[in-house]
Amino acid sequence: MALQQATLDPSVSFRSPVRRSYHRFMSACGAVAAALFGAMALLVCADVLMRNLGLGSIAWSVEATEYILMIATFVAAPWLLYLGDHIRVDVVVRALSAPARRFVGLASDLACFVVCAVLAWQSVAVTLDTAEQGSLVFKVLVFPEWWLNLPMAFSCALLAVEFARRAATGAWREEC
Amino acid sequence: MEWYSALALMLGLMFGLMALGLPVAFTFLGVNLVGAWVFLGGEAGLAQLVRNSVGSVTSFSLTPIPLFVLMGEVLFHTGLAFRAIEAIERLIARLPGRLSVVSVLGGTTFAALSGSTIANTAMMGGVMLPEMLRRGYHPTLAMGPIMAVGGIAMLIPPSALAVMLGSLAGISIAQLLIGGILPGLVMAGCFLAYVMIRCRIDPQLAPVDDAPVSPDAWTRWKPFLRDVVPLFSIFAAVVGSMLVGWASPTESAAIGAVASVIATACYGALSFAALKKSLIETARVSVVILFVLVASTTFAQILSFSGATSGALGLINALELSPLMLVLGMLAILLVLGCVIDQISMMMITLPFFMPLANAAGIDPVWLGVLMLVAMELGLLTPPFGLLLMVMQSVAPPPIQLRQIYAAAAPFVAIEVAVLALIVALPWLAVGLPRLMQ
Repeated sequence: MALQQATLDPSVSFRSPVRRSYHRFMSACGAVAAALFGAMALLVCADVLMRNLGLGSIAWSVEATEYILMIATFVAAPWLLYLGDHIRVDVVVRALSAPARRFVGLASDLACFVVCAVLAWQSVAVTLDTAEQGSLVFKVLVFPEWWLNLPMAFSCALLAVEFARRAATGAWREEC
Repeated sequence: MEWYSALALMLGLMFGLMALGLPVAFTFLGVNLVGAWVFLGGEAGLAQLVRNSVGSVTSFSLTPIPLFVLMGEVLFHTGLAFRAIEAIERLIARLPGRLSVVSVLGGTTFAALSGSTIANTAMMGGVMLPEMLRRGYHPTLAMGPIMAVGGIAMLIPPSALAVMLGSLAGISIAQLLIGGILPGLVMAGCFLAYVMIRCRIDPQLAPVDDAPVSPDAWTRWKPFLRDVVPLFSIFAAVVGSMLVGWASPTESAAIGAVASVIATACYGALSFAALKKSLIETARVSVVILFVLVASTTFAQILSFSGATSGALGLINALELSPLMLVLGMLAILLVLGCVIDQISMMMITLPFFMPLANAAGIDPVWLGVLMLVAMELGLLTPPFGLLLMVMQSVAPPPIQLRQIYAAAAPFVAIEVAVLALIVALPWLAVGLPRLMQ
């Protein structure tokens, strides 16, 4: 299946408080991205209206929009994995026997865990490195450059956690 | 490392991991990790990969992707899209294959209001398919038009994938969006003609409707004038603001999104719950696209840095192909890739090679962009990996088998190939409107 449909119904009640909190946290990531996209539409529209009505323009709107897009993408990526939404090409996997499919599913989650863990480590390293240099982003908005790396570090760490959870709990079984 | 070894390593690893069932985004990230380590200098390469990934989506030109998706989602979740389809249905009477015709017209209308092919097909499949099957329509005429017209959302603006193609390939996004209008309409016209001719030849395929036909023209036209015509003001807001120069293509997407919210509010259909659902679904659809972009941007850079891109380009240049042969070769590659991978991956793999070749051969980038969009649209309908075939599978009732879905798409695939050939033969179909705009 290309776009895996949500394997978790939001109305599902979780007995374990840890699972419930995790579910809420993931949903909150999605809600933040959704709200950011809404804010982005309003911001760009307000800028266009003000400019064409001769009321000046919002100088920081383009820059802020770019950051919104980047933050929303990184924040929502773990939530999409949690929902099983990321596109996967499963033409070959579908042709396998059930045990082989389970094995490949586990191997795939473990491989993704390694990829995300390495990227999380590198993102943190780059963030620390940039913070140490003390460089600033100097456009309309001025702020420490290392702030820009935080969303990716957050995203990769959470993706690694989610892949580990899937490997441990066999969440992939539901999608095979 | 020789360029062909580098190319084999990168592409081999990519197809291998994809075949293992890794999500596409993580496949690219995995290949990039290996590529960055090997070609960009170990740990320093990995740090570069992180910096590139952050930079890849920090781009204003990509903002129409979520905004175009939001336009469609708002109309969908507030129920306005369903009202529009109902109004179109009332208008179409006494035509062979009436509901299939409604599917094509409704789908084309929604394509002009939504930037997502998946949302388009899912909506039309959910609304029209059960009704057609209940009335005894042949599965080919019930499912085929819905899947085919879903792909038109990729051509007719607003189109999230056209924005992405324009942004990645360095083609003017405004011209690409406008260039898709005429081919999209031609395609819709061909679908309509096919449906009506097939039903005229074999009326059994689509049993004649028992729906009462109102003799009063006003009763038939009123819902259309009330529920459909005003919606075109959203399309006009998007394309018009771009043409008049009030807004850039990027900004016009925001205007479209806000216009669709205002339109639903004017109809009294807007609720907080519907808006929340629309925004959440927008995040789901667009972040899937954007995250593949994050993962795959560095892929092109590593390919280039490893020498694989220039090596392969040198090989192709040595063949001294004519521009037409080049374009045909590119389209053939896209059609083959479309059977096995998704549209964003297709762009990421092919653009590093296609655009330098096209620029060197003097091929019109807007023409090539529209051709690529049609070829990628075909990939949505070709098995085994056709995204819209799978969307249809998820909305079709259980007795419908995957084989029937493939068969239903086949005639429409043939029509799209014919339209693709037509655009190759008559480039003004793609570049006429954009030139007029200039």
